[in-house]
Amino acid sequence: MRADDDSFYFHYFANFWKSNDMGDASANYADRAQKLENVERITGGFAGFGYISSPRISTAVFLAQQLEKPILVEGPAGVGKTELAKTAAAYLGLPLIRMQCYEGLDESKALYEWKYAKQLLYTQILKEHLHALTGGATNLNDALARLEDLDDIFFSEQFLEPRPLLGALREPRGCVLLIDEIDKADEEFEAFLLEILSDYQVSVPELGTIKAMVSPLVFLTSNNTREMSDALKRRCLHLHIPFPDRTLETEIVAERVPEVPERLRQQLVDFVQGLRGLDLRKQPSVAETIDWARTLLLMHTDELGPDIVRNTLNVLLKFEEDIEVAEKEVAQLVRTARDPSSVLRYV
Amino acid sequence: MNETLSRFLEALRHADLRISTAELLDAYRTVDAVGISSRQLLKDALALSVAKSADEQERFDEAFEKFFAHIDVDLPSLADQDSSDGAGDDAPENGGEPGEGNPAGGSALEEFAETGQELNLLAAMSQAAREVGLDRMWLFTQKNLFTRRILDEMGLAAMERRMRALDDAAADGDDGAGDDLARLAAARARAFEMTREYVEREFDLFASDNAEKLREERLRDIRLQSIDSRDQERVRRILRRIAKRLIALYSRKRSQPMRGVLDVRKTLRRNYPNDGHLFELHWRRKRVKEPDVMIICDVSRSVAALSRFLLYFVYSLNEIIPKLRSFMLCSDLVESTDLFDSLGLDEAIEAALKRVMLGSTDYGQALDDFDSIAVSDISRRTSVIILGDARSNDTNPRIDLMQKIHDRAKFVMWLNPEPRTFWGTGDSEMYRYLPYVHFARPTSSVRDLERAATALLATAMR
Repeated sequence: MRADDDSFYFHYFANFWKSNDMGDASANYADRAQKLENVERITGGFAGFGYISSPRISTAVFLAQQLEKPILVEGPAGVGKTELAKTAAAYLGLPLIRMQCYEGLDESKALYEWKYAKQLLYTQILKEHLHALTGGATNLNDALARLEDLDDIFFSEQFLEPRPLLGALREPRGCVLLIDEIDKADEEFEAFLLEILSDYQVSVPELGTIKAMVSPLVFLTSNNTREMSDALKRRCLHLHIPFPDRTLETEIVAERVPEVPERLRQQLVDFVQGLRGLDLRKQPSVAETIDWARTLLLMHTDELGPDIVRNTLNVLLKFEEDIEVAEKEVAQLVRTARDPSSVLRYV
Repeated sequence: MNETLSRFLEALRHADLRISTAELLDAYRTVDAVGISSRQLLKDALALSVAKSADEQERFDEAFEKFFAHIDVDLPSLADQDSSDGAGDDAPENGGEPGEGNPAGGSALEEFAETGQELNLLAAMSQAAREVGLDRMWLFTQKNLFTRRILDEMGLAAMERRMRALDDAAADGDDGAGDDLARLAAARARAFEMTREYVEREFDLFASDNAEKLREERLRDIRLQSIDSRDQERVRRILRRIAKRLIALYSRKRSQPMRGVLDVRKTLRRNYPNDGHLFELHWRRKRVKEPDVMIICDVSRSVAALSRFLLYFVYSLNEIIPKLRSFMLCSDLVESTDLFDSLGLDEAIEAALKRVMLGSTDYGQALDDFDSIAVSDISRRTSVIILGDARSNDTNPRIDLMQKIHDRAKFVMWLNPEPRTFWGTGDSEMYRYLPYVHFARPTSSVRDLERAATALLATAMR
């Protein structure tokens, strides 16, 4: 096996590009650059796909394009980290390649693997031919030389099983790469990612260095279960998405569940915002607010009442102890949500 | 913009953000990409590329608002100001001009008195600040000095000469002179106020952390028993920081390879796809075991303060020392592990100190108690830390029990708050315990505590 043979490297890419027009790729990139040309346009474009973006989020996407840097998105679960990547892919009309991280994730699952079984099977099937090829050889060296002439057929494209990262680099039009929950992966894997994140290239011993033709737009998400290494942080733009404020959350609910009447929308958002003020183990996130809005809609509610809230609290809160804490406050919170001016009376 | 941006990044460094050369370059590229037309956009963009955590984000916001405080929304004016700075750099003789204090007018202050243009004065001020070396300001006591120097640089002396002349003229009955004098006085007062604010702000951004750093540096070496109550919180902060660093250092290593010992099961499993041919070998790994630590603190009056800090420190290392048992020692010995399991760190320490009987210290009795409570739990993985002065009030020191601990444990460490010259004097039994201790050290400052913890972790994590 010849590790970094140039001719092979070329052969490999020639095959890979055969079906793709190079002009197409650059046209696509121009289109992407245009779609991400300024912050307002990004905000508008994302809104078209149902994602209400804050200025900081749009700025992050804009910078990611300009500086060709990955975005490390942090924030509590359910504030739309993964959604951001999905929306970006939809808006840019690029494929989304998603890699879910977990403990024990390694190169062979993230980058590439050889199809061992296929290789073995083929050597068995091709035994005859191999035999015929080496048949005329007079000695071992001769036979070996003939085999060498075959090129590394068993380590070529057709035996390569690309995994998400290699797939993302080889995507001819570029893509949106989502590396989800990077904090769940091991530290070794984090270090392995560094080369991809800074240069958009990977080194495969058998094939050489593979560089992305069009650098992908990369999102990494983290729930902060552990601190990322400085090296990784340094290579990324750091975007922290907190829980949205009242106005933004109302907009999001209006966008996602437009059937909810405005008054109820206002009330339910106020209620959730109030709930976040309590001492809870897991705060309800935007995803839960949306679920709850849908639930209320299904139950034909048009105004928030203590009973309906108590019955549906399990949609918002995922821990028994949180529900217990919240139940005591429901009456008060509902009153405030129904009549915001009543807060003044209690303060 | 370049000049302003590098000064801003410098200010961020003082706000305790990690700005390395890479971040610096990123910041420049960011500004190139977004321009300086919108304040909010600039702020968001810079925050995204240099602030690397939610905490840093907050400090960034604060520093940004402080630094760009005098520029409201119209950032283009910043660009103007910079272009004039740039011109000054090209022709240094121009830059020196205001300092000349030309009596015919034309110094920055005179011009300000004429036109009342505050923005121009600000530009002149930053120029003057550079001339007098405002970035050498180090402590808050220098604020007045530098305010005065900047004013002088902007032509205060000439202005005051002119004011005196006008004063004389007014005394001679010149009405116009009186008006001029009032105008100049008002301008001087305003300029003084603005300069003062400017210096204040610069100090805040670039030097306010110096005093704190000096103090922290000093606190690392001070004897913890005699520490002021107002410094206690600071010491804890330092200890927390050290603990965080040690955790980062030691939490990574979970297993280490054992060279040459084949893991047969894993190797076979790995090679199923290869038709059972053993291409890929897998070596056995040794798990790094979690250290098991017992800590015995003397809480008699002479050592109590230090014990408090030691407990605080060791319990801050909880993430890498999950199995920790603590004992309080005075005339006898009691276990306090349960307190730390159920209460917060601060309350637990207070409660633990209260639990023990305060009387004359008796190490022999304490070791006897320890023998009956915990010695049977000491295994080859256990490290025992004893903090105390070994002053046993002439009772039997029970060396035999110390030997028993030494024989069973992996590592015995004795931290003595007294300097080495005091060991063995009077009722100190230190030298009799010493043969049964792996590591003994006089320990009284934060630095000593750090050293002890490093020694403990290096041994216990093996």
